[in-house]
Amino acid sequence: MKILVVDDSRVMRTIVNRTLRQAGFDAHPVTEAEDGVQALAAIEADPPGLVLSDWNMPEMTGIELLRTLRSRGNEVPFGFVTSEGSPEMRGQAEQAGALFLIAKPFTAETFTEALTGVLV
Amino acid sequence: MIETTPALDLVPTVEDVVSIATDVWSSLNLDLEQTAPTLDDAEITGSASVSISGSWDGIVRLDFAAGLPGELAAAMFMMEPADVSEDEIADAVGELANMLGGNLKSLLPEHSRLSLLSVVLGSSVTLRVTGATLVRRVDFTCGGSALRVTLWESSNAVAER
Repeated sequence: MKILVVDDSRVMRTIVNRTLRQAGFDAHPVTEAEDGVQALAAIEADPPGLVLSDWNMPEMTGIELLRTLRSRGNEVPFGFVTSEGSPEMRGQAEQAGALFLIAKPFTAETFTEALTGVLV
Repeated sequence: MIETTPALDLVPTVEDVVSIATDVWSSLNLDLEQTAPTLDDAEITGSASVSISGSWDGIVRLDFAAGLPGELAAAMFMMEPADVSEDEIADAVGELANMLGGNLKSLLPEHSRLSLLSVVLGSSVTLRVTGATLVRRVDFTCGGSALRVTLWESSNAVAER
């Protein structure tokens, strides 16, 4: 099952990749996108099994990406990995159709807890 | 540490800054220790900031002493310091500001927004924050190098109090 990591920060995409491996999800190929616009095109061209997206990005934010996907009937499993983990943000994420929100900074254990059951 | 002006209850405390910064650095397996104010403006070679707007209007800014931005980037990318590019350094320190700012924003009441990042790197960086008042300063060392976190509150917000 392919994982699409969406973040405008290359270092964060690197860290997410690394954490996925540390959490035991290294069997899943990972692709990357730099913002919501790139991610949307990638998802529609070659659907991943899971999207892990930052929230605050140029061109199209993560929440805009998720809402666009759902408005187009695309139910791809989606989770946020973001520095903004307030109850308000978690509520917005859930309402838009996200399965989880992982707040930065995170650990491999956080990833294991959030992704087990989502990734098969 | 310096607290320069009486601040609204909304402004994150020094303890908040220390706690969040410690968590961020620890998650990256980097050491961080709070110190007395040490970093002079003339020593800054890198600065990353993010603004928060809504229930509190202000800026969260990280300033770094010589060499530290490159060392942090190397650690985060797991590369040799000599191999990190300036873009990678800017990306890394920007992401540190993003994590710090995002977590501080989470302490504020609802309906706050986080801006995109600004990063400045150079051998001698002069960065002025206009239209805002310094409300928090916390100094740290990381691997023996100095960095500081400052919170600046919009002058409009101060005037309205």
